[in-house]
Parts: sequence; C-alpha cells; structure tokens
Amino acid sequence: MHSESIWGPKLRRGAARLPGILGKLFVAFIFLFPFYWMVITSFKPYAETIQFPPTLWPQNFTLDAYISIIGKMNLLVYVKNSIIVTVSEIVLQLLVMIPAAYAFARYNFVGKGLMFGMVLVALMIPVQVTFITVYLLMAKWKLLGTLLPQIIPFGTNAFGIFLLRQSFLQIPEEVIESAKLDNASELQTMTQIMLPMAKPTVITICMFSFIGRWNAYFWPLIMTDVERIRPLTIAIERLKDLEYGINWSVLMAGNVLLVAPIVVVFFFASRKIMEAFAYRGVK
Amino acid sequence: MKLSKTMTLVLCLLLTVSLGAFAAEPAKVEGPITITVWHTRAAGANGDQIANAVARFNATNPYGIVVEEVYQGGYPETLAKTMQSIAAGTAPEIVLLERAAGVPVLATQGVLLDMAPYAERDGFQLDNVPPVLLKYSYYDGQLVAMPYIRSTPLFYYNKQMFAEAGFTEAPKTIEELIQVGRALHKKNANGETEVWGFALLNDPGWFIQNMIYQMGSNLVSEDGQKVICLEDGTMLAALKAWREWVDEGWCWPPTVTRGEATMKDLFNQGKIASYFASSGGMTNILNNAEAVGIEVGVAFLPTWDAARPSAPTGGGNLAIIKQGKNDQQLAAAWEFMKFVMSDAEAAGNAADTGYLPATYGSAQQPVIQELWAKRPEYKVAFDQLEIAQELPWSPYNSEFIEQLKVICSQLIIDRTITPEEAIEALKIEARLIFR
Repeated sequence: MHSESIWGPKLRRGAARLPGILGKLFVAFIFLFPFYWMVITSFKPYAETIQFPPTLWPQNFTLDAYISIIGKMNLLVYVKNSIIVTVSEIVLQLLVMIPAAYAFARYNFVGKGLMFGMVLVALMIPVQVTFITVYLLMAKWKLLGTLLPQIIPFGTNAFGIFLLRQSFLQIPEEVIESAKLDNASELQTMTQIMLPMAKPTVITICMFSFIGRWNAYFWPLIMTDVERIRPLTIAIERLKDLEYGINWSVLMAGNVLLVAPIVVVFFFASRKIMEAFAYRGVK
Repeated sequence: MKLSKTMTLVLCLLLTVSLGAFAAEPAKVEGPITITVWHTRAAGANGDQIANAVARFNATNPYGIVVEEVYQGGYPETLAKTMQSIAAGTAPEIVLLERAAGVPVLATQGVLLDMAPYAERDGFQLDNVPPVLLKYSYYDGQLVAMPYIRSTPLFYYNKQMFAEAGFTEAPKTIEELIQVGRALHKKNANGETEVWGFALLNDPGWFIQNMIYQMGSNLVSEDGQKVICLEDGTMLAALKAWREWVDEGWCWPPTVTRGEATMKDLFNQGKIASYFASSGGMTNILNNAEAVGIEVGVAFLPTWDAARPSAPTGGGNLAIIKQGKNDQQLAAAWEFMKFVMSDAEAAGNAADTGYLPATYGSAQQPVIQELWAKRPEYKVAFDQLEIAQELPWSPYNSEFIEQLKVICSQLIIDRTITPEEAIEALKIEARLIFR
C-alpha cells in the first residue's frame, strides 16, 4: 500500500488551481458561445431557429442558407474589395507608422511635442465628424467610383504610432549603439534592428487594423455610391430586409462568412506573436 | 387713350408669346443617356423586383435610356446620402424616399422636379392613383413624388388559437379586440404571461395616430402648425388604453430592439395570438407561419369608432431630383417614372413583393387578380385603402414622432411614467418642436 495519502501535496496544489481554471473556462464560454450559436444557427432551417426551447445542435442540418447567399450575391466582388482595402490600408499604415514612431522615439526636433500632441488628438476625432467634408473632397477629386476613399483616410494609424513609439523606447541603448558601431544607416537601424524587436507590437497593430477595416460599415456606406466597390460588410447588411422580416439562418450564414477571415487571421497572428516573443535581441 | 387695332394685335401677340414661354413644353429625350436610381430595396424578392424592372426598361425603351439601380441602405441612410450627394454634385436622377419623412425634407429645399407638366404632356392619368396614396406627392401645388412601394398595416391573427377560444372572425372594434385579447391571455402557475392575446409595436406615428383619427381628431392640425391631440384628450385616451392593456398582461410590450422580428418569432411559436404589422411583410409572414403549421388570418385594423374605421399608409415614393440636372436627364428620369407607374409594372411590383398595387388599373391586371384568388389576404390590404387616411404634412412631424416614440417607450416598455405624465412631456416637446 502506498504510504502517501491521496490527499497529498500534489492533489492539494491541483485543487488550489481549480477555481482559477473554472473561472477561465467560464469566461471563455461566455465569449465563445455567441460564435457557436451563430455557426449552428446558420445550418438550421428557419422553423428550427425560432424553436423554443432552442436546440443546441441543428436537428435538421441544412446548407440552404449558404446556398441562397452564394447563389444570390456575387460574393467574390465584395470579398475582393474587402481584401484590397484592408491590405492596402495596412501597407500604407506600416509605411507611415514605422518611420513616424522611430522619429518620435529616437529624435528630438523642433515641434516634436506639438506634433505628437496632434497625433493624440487625431486618435480622438470620430469619423462621424469628418465624413461629410471628406465625401465632398473625394467628389471634387473624382475618386468616388474607386476604392481610394476607403483607403486614403485610413492611411495612418495614430494609435499605432503611439504604441510603436512606446515599443521603440523600450529597446535598450546598447543594441542601437552596437548598430552604430557597425556603421548601420538610419534606415538599416530602423528596419533591421528595431523593427524585429518590436515585432509583437507591429503584428498586434496590424491585426487590430485588419479587424477594424474588415468590419467597417459606416465609412464604406457613406463613401460608396455604387455596388462594385463595396466591401463584404455592406453586402451582408443587405440580407436584412426589415419590412420583410429576418431570416435568422441567412443572416447568421452571412455573418459566418464575414467573420471567418478574421478568425483565420487571428490564429495566424497569435502564433506569430508568440514566436516573436521568443526572440530576445540582446546578446 | 384708345389702342389702335395694330397696337392691340401686337400686345395680344406679346402676351401669347410670353405666356408660351412660361408654359414651355418639357423636353423630350433626344438620344442615349444613362441615369441612376437610388433605392432602399434590399436583398430577396424586394431587390430582385427593382433589378428586373430596370432590366425590362433598359431593354424596351425606344430612346436608348440606360437606368442603373443602386441600393443605398434603409430610408434614413438613403435620405442622408442623397442630401450629401446633392451638395457634392454626385446625386442620382431618381431617388426612393419614405413618403412622409423623406420626400417633404427634399421638397422644402426645392430640389425635386415638378412632374405635373410632364404628366399633362403625356396624358398620365393621375386619377388612376388612389387619392390617399398621393397625399404626400404634392408640395406647394407641385407633383413631386409618385407612390412606389406602399403598404398599410393589417391585423394578423392565429386562426386556430382564435377558433379554440370561440372566435371565428377578427375583431372589428377596439372593444372586441380587448375581449379577444383577454380571452386568449394565458398565465402559468407563477402568474407570468405565457400567451399574449395581442401585441402592439412602438410605432405611434402609425398606430396611435390612426386611433386618434378614429376618435375624430388627428396628431397635428391640417396646416401642420399645431399638435391638437394633446388638448382634446384623444392622445390621453389612446395612451391610457394601451398602458392598461399591457398592465392587464394580455398585450405584449415590445422589446427595446428588434421589436418587430421578436414579435413575429413569438407569433410563430404560438405565444402571441395577434398583432398589427405592415402589409409589406405579408409574404414572409405567411411563408414563415406555414413553415411552422400556423394558419394566419388577415383583417382590417379594428376601430375605436364603428362609424369611423380607418388605417394609415406607409412606404416609399419615387422622386426626381432636378438640382444640377439638365433637361435630358430630367426627361429620361420621367420616362422611367412613367414606366414604373404603368399598370403592368405596378401590378408586377405588388405581386412579386406584397406591396400595394399603386394604381386602380394595376389592381385589375391578371397577375394581381390571380394572386388575390389564390391568396385573398393580399386583397385585404388593397381594400383597406378605401378607408385609409394620411397625417397632415408638417415639417415638424418627423421630430415630434421621434419624441413620441421615446415617451411611449417610457410609458409602455419601462413603465416609469403614467399616461398623464406622458401627455405633459409631449406638451413640452410640442412647444419646443412646433415653432
């Protein structure tokens, strides 16, 4: 017979961790359940979606909702627009954000405080204040039929500049000194030394930008007067015809299609973030 | 001084010429041209109908006019985008606007085309359109809009539930409605309501205004300058009754959001026995109820006063924007307007979607007659037009109805104020809004 009782230290330690684990599972459930509900509803026929008590798994599994969406809408055009707008915006933001954050972190120049203050103010102005003026401007420049009104106004990311500057400030001086000793130019220092060390921040910023732009509804609605340049969000909204009544399965199916790329990007990005954390540049 | 014969002749000639200049014939389309129509018809049968109508027009019109239709969102979004685009010079030629909240806003700014000269030139019969549908089409004597996707609310009820309680017909008066509501009200052991006999959505611009009209008054005066229902006790009577019905438990209070969708879902679950809703949703209501095995009855709205039955109308009208447009664009827009208002097209529009046939002639078309034979429910909506009424036009209506909605939600959903307090609050709003 084993001399150690079953209520030994190992089990006590495990039991002490139990409330924490249960708490985390509970929180995870609260966040994940709506997504689960969205997905299973998209596979139910209408009659089952309004059944009470509700079914936790589709009893009459059907692909009708997806078929009706894909059949009725030319989804490829909208997806293409969403991708082009989102990717262009991220690229533009990186081009502007990285040098700006580098300058704010590494240099002292005339008006630095003022300019950084303006960046913070830009963070705070909501799009609802500026959209009419921007629309009139885009009309004057004859850009309304293109994707540019959805990309250009979001070419910089004030929040990103702020975050990245913080990140750059935390890079130890020794690393930069050693780069200077190796005769690295400013550009090389910025892209080959500091950027890799701030990778987690950059990836996080890109992820937020992606999610924000992919989900954007108000701005594209205002800026696009024609169908061919509209992103996926507008197309999915059209599924909800108020005077007609809401078909939950079709609506949920549309949202699953809308959310799927974000989920994919998130999983991809979170893995990269964890990899990036493993990198410690100081030798 | 007496005028010589020559002078008289010259003067007469000048007069005729100057009159002719004012009564110049509106232009005719001279060559191929592309115009745009902005609308609110989302996906499904609604959006398909306008897409097909446009395709038909593009294929058959002899002028080479090409119409492009673009969905712009709901009524408020479309109105906002239209105003913005007029300022930017990117406006469409034709726009679909809510008849009361949209058309007057643009009409007062003078940006809409007066279609009366075009109608006269082409012999367009305005008496083919039910008068009540034209009430918001005239502004300052000008014909600025045409009824396009119009609806009227009806009384929908669960036939089986009514039969089980001994009711073979829909209630004709509010008194009968109260009887039915109470009879079908079911509570569980804890006193909580399980089945509501009736549901009334928070759409006071429609339902409460209609009740007040049945009582012999109206929301605002004929000239649209004063709110009259707050002084003569009719608004108080309507709000008091609604609150009583909800307090007694048999009238379902709407949820704060998604009220209409939730109500229809509860109906399909057998938890609500009857409700008021737009005829525009008829196709979906009938189809969804059929899917769950419920037989839906459709009837006129019950009335406060058997001698004064009435119903409101709603929906969207088409208007032509003249601001920044040349003669050719206006002429082309009128051609499309005529096409859409033709009996055949108006009939197809109604048959495919459940909206009202916009003209008397369209109601006679075979496609509508067949629809009514197969599904007489759709005919109920058209018949109700004969007792339909409209709210007098006022620039203050939109804002006042918004405030009325908020106060009703405090009265009916939150139940934090009494009907008398609601009236006092409304009086303050009326004073502020009706300047």
